[in-house]
Amino acid sequence: MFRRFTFSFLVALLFVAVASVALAAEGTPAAGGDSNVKAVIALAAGFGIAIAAFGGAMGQGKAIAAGLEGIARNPSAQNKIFIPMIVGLALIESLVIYALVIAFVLVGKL
Amino acid sequence: MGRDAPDRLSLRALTNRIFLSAGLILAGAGVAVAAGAASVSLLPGAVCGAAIACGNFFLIRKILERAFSGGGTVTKGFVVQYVLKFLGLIGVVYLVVRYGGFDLLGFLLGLSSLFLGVLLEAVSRSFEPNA
Repeated sequence: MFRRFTFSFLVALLFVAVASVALAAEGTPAAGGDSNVKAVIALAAGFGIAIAAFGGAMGQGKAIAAGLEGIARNPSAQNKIFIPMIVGLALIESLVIYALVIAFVLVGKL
Repeated sequence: MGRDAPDRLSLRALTNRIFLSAGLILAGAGVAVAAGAASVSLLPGAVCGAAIACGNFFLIRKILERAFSGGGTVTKGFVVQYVLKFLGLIGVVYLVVRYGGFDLLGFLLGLSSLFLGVLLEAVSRSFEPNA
């Protein structure tokens, strides 16, 4: 299931990458060049934040699920599980914020 | 949540390392500005990024500590608090990037203080005798 989903995701990503290159290449440079660049920038911002949010959500979900499972199996280990879980969540969230900043910068260029 | 002393100390040490790394990044940015290798706008961007990173970590810690303080049960409102914190963070980042006028490289450098803090904590733990 996960492998099929990953394959579909990669195929969609490849399709968008090829389409964006084709979009950037077609048209006359004088008339449609600017709008093509803007379209590619919009695609880059959207897909960048989408991929970052997807990865961050997967990572945070797995981290919290594993942490809660560990605490439920062994409640006395709560203190040892808690701190790495906080650090992991903060680091994952920071990476998503990086992508968000880049996306905002790209949107500002539109 | 019934924390014992070593874990409380460890969390405090981690927080201190994050503040230390933020200070190191700001000092490095200050030196770069003073040496003329970077523009002056790098420094306020780094300060803003470091403040956001430290504040985000502080809020995550507080929300999760409160959520897991029920002794095996997750308290109510945890999800709402976490989502509100994230929305607030997005809003602050949007305002800073869009209207702040800070240097973006400095801002990203300041945001990286969390990573450097975790690295410092891991390195310092590896030198402890009982590690």
